[in-house]
Amino acid sequence: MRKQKDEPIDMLQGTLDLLILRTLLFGPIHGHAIAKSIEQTSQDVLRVDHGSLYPALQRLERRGLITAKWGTSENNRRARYYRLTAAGRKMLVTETSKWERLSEAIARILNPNREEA
Amino acid sequence: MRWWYELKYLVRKLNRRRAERELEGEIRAHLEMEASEKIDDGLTPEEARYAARRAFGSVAIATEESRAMWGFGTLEILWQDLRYGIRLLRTKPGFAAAAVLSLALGIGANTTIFTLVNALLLRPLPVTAPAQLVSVYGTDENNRGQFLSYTPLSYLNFRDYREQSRVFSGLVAHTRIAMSLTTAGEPQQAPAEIVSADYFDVLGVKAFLGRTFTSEEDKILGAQPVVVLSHALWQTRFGGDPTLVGKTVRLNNLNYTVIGIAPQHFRGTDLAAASDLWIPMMMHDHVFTGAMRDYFNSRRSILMDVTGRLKPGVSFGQAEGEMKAIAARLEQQYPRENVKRGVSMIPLSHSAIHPNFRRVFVQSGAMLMAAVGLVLLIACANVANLLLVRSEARRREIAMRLALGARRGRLVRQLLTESFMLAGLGGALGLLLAVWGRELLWALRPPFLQNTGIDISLNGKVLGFTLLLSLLTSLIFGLAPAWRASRAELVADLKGKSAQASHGHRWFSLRHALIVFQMALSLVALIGAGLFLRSLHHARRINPGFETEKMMTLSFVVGALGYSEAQGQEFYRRAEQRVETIPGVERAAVSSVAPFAWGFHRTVTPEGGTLPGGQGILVTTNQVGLKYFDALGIALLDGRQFTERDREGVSRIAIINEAAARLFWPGQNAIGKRFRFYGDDSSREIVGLARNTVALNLGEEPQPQIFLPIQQNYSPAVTLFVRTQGDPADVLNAVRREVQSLDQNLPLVNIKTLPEILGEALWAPRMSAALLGFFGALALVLAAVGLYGVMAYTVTERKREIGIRLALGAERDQILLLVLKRGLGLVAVGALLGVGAGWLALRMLTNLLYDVSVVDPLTFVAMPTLLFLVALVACYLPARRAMKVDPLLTLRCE
Repeated sequence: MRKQKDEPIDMLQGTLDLLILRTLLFGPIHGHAIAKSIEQTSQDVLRVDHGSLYPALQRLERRGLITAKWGTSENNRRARYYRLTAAGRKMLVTETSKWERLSEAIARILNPNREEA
Repeated sequence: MRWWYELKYLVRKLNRRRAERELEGEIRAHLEMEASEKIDDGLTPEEARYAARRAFGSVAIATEESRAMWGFGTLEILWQDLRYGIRLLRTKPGFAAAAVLSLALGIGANTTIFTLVNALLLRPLPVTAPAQLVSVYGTDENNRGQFLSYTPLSYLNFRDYREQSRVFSGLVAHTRIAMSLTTAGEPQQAPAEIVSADYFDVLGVKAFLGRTFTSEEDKILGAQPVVVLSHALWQTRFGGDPTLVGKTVRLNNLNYTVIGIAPQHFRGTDLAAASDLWIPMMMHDHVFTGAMRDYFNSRRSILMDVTGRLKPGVSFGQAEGEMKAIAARLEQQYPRENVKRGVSMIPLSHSAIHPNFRRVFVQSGAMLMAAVGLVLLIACANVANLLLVRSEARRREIAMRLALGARRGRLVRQLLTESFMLAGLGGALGLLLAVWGRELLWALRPPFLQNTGIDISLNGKVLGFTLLLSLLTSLIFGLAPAWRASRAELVADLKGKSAQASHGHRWFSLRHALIVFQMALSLVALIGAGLFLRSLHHARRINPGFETEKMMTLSFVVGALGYSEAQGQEFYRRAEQRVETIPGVERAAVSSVAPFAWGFHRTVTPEGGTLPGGQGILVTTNQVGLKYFDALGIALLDGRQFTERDREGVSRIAIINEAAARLFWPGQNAIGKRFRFYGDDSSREIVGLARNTVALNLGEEPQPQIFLPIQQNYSPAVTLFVRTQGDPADVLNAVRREVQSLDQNLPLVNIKTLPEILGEALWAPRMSAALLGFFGALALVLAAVGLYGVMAYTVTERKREIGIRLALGAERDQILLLVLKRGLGLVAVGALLGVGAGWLALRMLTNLLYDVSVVDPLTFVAMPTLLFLVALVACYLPARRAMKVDPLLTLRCE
């Protein structure tokens, strides 16, 4: 039982995009930091294949939601720093509210008695 | 704004190398950061790197999926496939060249023929809303010969149709005449049309310059000599002079005011009989002289082509119904003139080639399209076989790519892209060949298509046809290898050779089925070619019944220069005499009918005979000079020739041919019998019986003909037949000079030797034989190349088997026979199918053949033999290679 709880959950389609946008809200960071941040804030529940991050970043960049710039990391490594654009911010707001509505709805279905309780 | 980001992104990523470098650098940085974190956690550098990789997952997939973002989606994949295909083709230039060349020949041949079929049969005339236009023809139950199915209408009947019908927004009459055009240069005879004033309005043709006729110009007889010129005549004769409109030109010795120039491609409603100028109907008294003037006003004389525009909302059937009702009334009202005559309508789109000839055009077009279709199918089969052989060779590559995670759909798409590419290249090259082929064929067109408005430019329809054909072919030949790839069996294929045997046999059969198919198709093409070659041979030997070697002709219309009958008769006499004084000339005689051309048909009533269908039989007449029969070498079987004494005012006589005698008085002696022409007040006596001669077409059934002495029956237009002692080409210019010297203003046309004219008359059979021969040869060569390729591959594939057989003691001759038997066995099956298919398909062409049965035994023996001989060579070369297989070497290779 316990073991099952510890098992990291695979990402749902499209959620990665939302998480990336959310992570970037606090300022420009590079790819590795995004991965770490998602893992840590989800307390290792969500498993992010680091590899899958990069196509997602390209996709968001292509859609104009984020932009990237080369910079130098704290360890003096060259890395690409991603930052939200205005469109990205807007998208984050709408997507977040959508996600919340969705998760509420799902929660209600899975647990119909909670409201009465 | 978002699209702007996307565009910026895509533009930046267009530099693929930089994008790759960036991505690679980014991923490397990521891995290093992760690894150094793990080292901080206490792992060894080695373990740390490994852990970083594991957390990352597949770098290849991440890279691949990132790359997918950079592109333009499907287009991008297409581009990748294309580049891959080009690389492959470049590594196998021989294969590429063979495939592209096969297809180019096939597509080129198809496009060439389609261009011409399109120009002659499919392209609408340059008129407004052609779908509303119809041609109105007469019918004549009593005279339903091959070329009299659709006749013109008489002018009087036309006027009644126009007044009584309610279904047309306009109905116009027009008829062809030859007018002499006198300008500074040589006198010229121009093909012209005399037309109802609203001719251009009804067709919806606007003048290129100036204007067309007004109704005022068609009211008073002879009052308005005005003319519209064709664009071509304006360009060639008047140098495109923009001030010509408003000036006068001299036509038939009268000044006509040029009121307009017709648009460039408009040359009237008959593609094969193009007009250079148009004059209003009310000038008819000026251009029709003598007997023609009476014919114009006779309800019996059918002179007018009629074209109408249907009122909006009126259907074709409705209109034809009303016209037929009027025709029935007119027959009742004028029973003598309109006996058994009716009316028949054809949409203009189907009458631009006259319906009397159209069937032959359609048939020839269909036959040629079928022939080139066979060539293309054979080419497709060739390419399919080449691709199959190659896909065998590529089996490991394909299996490898599948094993590495390529999706089957993607692979199939890539293989089809390669096929499209081959077809595209073949199509492009084919189009070039077609442009060239079209020029060649068009340069060889017969004289009656020489000066016309036929537009053979490559229009959208032709380009679309070529594109469609290329796509279709790539599907035909590309499907087999693509299907093969989609069914690849990974393990077996990866293992390679060991699995080959089991696969080999299945593919063996498809390849060989294609060979059988090719052999059958090429034999059909060959049999077609053979039949038409035989037909040409027969046509060449047809004796037209008159001298053809030592003969020349030239034609002129003295009526067009305003000659009276007396002046005309005098001119003919002097022309005959003067020409006979030229050294090398034996005899000269005028005739109202040019060789292989229409004569004037007249209604005949024989006395003391009964004609099928009662009265109203039309017979072609020929008004001839005294020495006509002598000059042409036409034997008189009975009676006498015309003499000086048979002139106007003396009792009227005629000579008829055997066919006419048989028609009028079957089983009786015709000499001394009498007949009467419609409208004549006296009858004519038959004084001579001539042997049958060809009237219009080589190979025709003998046509009844009536010859009249021209002294008694004037014709304002004649052809001068000149019998020579030697080569007629030698005296051509002397004869022309002599006749021209009698009147400098007289246009002389068709100055040709009879061998030339005969050559033109044989144009159709010669062209059919040449084209079908060429396409047959092409089909044979392509099929032979295909056979060779497959047999050669089979030998390579079976080298090991052959090696074993040899090692076990088989004789080398036996190996040779084995391969030959296998190859020729396929050919035999194909030939059998081909003979059957040929027999079925070619039956439809009987009427295009001169005196050759479609089951001509010679053709049906010779062509399969030819196929076998060629196939033997194609099989022998690989078989010899098989014979020379070194068993030791092959076995050691394993």
